[in-house]
Amino acid sequence: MSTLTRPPKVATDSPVRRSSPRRAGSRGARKGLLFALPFLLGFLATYVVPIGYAFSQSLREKKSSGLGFGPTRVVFTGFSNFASILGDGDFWSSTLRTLLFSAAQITVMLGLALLLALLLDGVAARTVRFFRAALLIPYVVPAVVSTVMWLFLYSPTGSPLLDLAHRAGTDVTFFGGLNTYLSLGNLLTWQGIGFNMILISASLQALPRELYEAARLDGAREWRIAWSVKIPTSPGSWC
Amino acid sequence: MLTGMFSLIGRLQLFAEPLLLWQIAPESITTDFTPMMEIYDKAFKTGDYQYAAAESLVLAVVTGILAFVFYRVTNRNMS
Repeated sequence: MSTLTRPPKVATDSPVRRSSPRRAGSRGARKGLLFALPFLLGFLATYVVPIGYAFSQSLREKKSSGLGFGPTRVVFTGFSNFASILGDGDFWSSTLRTLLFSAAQITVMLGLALLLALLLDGVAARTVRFFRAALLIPYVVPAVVSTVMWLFLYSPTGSPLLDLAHRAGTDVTFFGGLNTYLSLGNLLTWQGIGFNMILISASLQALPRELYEAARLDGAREWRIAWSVKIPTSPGSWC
Repeated sequence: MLTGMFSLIGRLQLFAEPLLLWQIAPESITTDFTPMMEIYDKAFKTGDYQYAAAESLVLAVVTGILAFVFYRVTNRNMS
């Protein structure tokens, strides 16, 4: 550590240093590793090791000895778990259900987020700041908390929404059939829309303003600019 | 399409929301509503850690493949 306290030498007047760039490189690498160590340890302990453990567990199965009354033992069975998952209808149907649901929900959510981002892109900076913060609140609220909040709104007993609907003379339910997916989709869209809007609006702001001016000179209205300039040219984050 | 990719990965890991909603709608949200709920059910209700571990790895691989395909498709559209 004494090297750190010494005043740094100028590279040009120390030919010895210049002649050994490899050693300097490996020292730099060691320093880099030292800086990365806190992350690396956490990553190994909470990511790599558990996955490795899960993999080693997945190659085993619980077998009860005797006629099923004896103590259970965990025995190595190779890939038999994976083989039975391939034929597991429950697992694949839940995966497929989630995928189909996600496809619909993500399309709606990103469509709305894009619409909001385009609207925000068109208004004054101070308004933008307010709406951006307001729309980001659902994202900042922990998912479980907001779910519990919606749970009360959806609840068959004591939901204020159901109460209102009842007073208006209609009977709605939030669950059963397609309604389950609509309720869940509404909740997830509410949670995710702000964050996605921020990403999209950041990519919209990265666009050069000259493009808009050029479009305006060509006589394009705001929504035409949005449709033909902003959406096709905004890079990366959304298109 | 970064937003789509993040959303897709997040949705495949959908867990807490349906699990909580299950309390008020146990007949429409089943215990295997999403793959994560199915894994949770296998591991901590049935007690079959080994099968659940294998399921979670399969889900990780499926998610990886889907994310890769999604990335490929949307990037081709871009250029």
